[in-house]
Amino acid sequence: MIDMLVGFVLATSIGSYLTSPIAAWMPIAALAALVVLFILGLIYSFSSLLGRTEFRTWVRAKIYDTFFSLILVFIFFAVVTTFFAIPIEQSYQALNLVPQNCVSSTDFYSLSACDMHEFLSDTFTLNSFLYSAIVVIALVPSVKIDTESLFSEIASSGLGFSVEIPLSPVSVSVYFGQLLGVLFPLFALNQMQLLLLSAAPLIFAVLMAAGLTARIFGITRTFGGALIAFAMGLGLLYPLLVSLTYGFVDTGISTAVTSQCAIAGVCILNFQEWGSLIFSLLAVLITVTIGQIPGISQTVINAMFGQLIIYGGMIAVGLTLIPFLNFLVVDTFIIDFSRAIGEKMDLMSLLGSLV
Amino acid sequence: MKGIVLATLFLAFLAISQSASAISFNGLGTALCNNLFNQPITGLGAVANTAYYTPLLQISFLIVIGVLTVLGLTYGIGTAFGIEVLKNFSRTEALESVFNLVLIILIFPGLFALQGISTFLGNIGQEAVLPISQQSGTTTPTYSMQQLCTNYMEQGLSTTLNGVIGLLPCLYYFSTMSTLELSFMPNDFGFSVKPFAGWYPWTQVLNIEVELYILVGGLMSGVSMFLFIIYFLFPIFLYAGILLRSFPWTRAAGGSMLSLFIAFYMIFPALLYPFSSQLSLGPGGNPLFSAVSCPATITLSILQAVTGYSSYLGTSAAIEMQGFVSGLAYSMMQVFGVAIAFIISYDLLERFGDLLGAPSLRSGKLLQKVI
Repeated sequence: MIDMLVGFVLATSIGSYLTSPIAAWMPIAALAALVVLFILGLIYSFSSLLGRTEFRTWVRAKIYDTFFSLILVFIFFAVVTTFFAIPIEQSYQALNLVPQNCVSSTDFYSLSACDMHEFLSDTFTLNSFLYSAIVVIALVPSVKIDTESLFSEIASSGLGFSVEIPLSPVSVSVYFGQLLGVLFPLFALNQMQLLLLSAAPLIFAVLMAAGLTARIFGITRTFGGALIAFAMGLGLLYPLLVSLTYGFVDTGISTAVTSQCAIAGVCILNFQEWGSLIFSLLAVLITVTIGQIPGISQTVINAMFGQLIIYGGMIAVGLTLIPFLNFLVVDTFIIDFSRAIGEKMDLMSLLGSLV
Repeated sequence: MKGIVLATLFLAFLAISQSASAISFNGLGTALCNNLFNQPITGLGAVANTAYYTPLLQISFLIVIGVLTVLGLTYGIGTAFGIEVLKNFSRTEALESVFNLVLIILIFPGLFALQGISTFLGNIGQEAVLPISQQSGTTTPTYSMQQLCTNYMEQGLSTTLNGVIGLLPCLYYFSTMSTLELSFMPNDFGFSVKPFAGWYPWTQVLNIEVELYILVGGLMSGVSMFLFIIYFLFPIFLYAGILLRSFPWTRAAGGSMLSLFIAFYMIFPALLYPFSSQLSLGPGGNPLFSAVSCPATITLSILQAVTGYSSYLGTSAAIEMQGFVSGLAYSMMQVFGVAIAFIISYDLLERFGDLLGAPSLRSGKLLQKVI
């Protein structure tokens, strides 16, 4: 999906993609506005003839609204062609908010989708690592000593004893399993964010065009305002927030974890080194379990645990609190903006009812 | 021969001495927090460098001046044509724009003033809690986000990891010994007995203790990661919020971002600080989790080993559980501290949202839906 978005955007610049519906609808919107103004002018004239002053006041307000709607169309066209021409990705790179794999992003739509894609890849990496660790721990055998038949060779008394010695720290694999059970559904739910980001330019372009046009007519004015708020919220503000928040989480993960990897000598970010990392951690835990001192230095042990703590902690915050904060801002914006410009629309209530 | 070899193996297993703590995670939290919060200005630290955001403030200033100019024109048109709606709109929006100017002037020198407010609040809370903890006069308040991270990671996470490491040998020995089966079956008829099968419930208790340790440790590390994100990322919300608040139509988004900054950058860490500084202390100032321990070293004598374990499962086990629970109670107090700080911050988020032009910032309803 990320490749589709990047490919589509690179084929046509994002500015032209966003303004193409407007460019097609602008003559229609202008014509509709002229027709509405003509009708309102007729009503104003007839109300003067009929002496109905309340009609005149009403018509005056509708004329202002129609002019305002027409001005909004021109403002949107002007803003889009200028705003998306600003090389905003350079600012992101100056702030080190662009992950390594997203350097080729040319606008914040593709950057936000790339950031989310990178984060979900990191989440999938953590899930896979946990699963691999569980499998490896499960393969560690326990030793069962059974002497009954042997003793019977010495004396036919049938004396003997058996004991089972577990070598693997069973609690750890159980905990990893529970963690995997929590992470995987969150990972699946957060895939929805990637779908939403991939559709953001489409939402912005189409709904904004429809909303601006609908706002010209009196009957559909509030509905048009709600569409405009929806397009601005999900089509512009949400990708902007994602590019900031998840850009930081992605670069934070790679920076903070990499520094621990340098000390540990093995890294969770490198798939080829998972085996070494898991076996090293397992060796430490088994050695400690049987009451011995591991042969690895404390600094290296701390670094191995440290990278897991940082990696897991950042993933957990990115899966829970960050989307909550992003949707909080977007929801507030859509409610207040839609109320100011048209009809109040509560996105989270709609989504909550749907869910 | 085989029997002698196997018997020797088993005795060797029993003969392994248990060290009190083979490894220790003391220092892990401090090292991690140093690594997280001391990012180079040319790297991840750039995002928290407020000097980068000065152009945003300048743009915001220009926008506010532009908006005030347009509002003046609108007021003039409203006065000339007798349009009360325009006049009222101009009056309301002019006040909001003046408020924006005040915000820009306050933020222009940098975040020092705001960080000073957080430090003041955090230190006030610390001073209030110190007499209660019987540690009065022993600690000088040193509020900072890095100190908060260190408190949670070093005293919370490191302590819980040490607790887990301390419990693993116990778990190992009790799990093993509970499977020991002695049999007497001449001519395949007789009886077998597991003398230590009764220790199995105790292994379940130890498993629960390990899981609770890991749960608390996970929470501590999650809070620390959240503080790391707040410290570096939330200044962007401040400056972007002021910029968005300059436009009348994006005032809601700007107001919600400003509210997030105030609630979570300034208030949330200040509320956490007094709780976090008490992490290492239990009743009477005793360190947490100190009573968790396995029995002392065992010898080649099986009888002595058995006796040692059996006596442990009397009074010593009860003391161990009591020590674990009292220590865990103090950790759970930290969980409550995080929850209280979160709830107060969310409430303040709504209040500041009302003040800053985002009246629909009702996080409680959204939080309920998410939960």
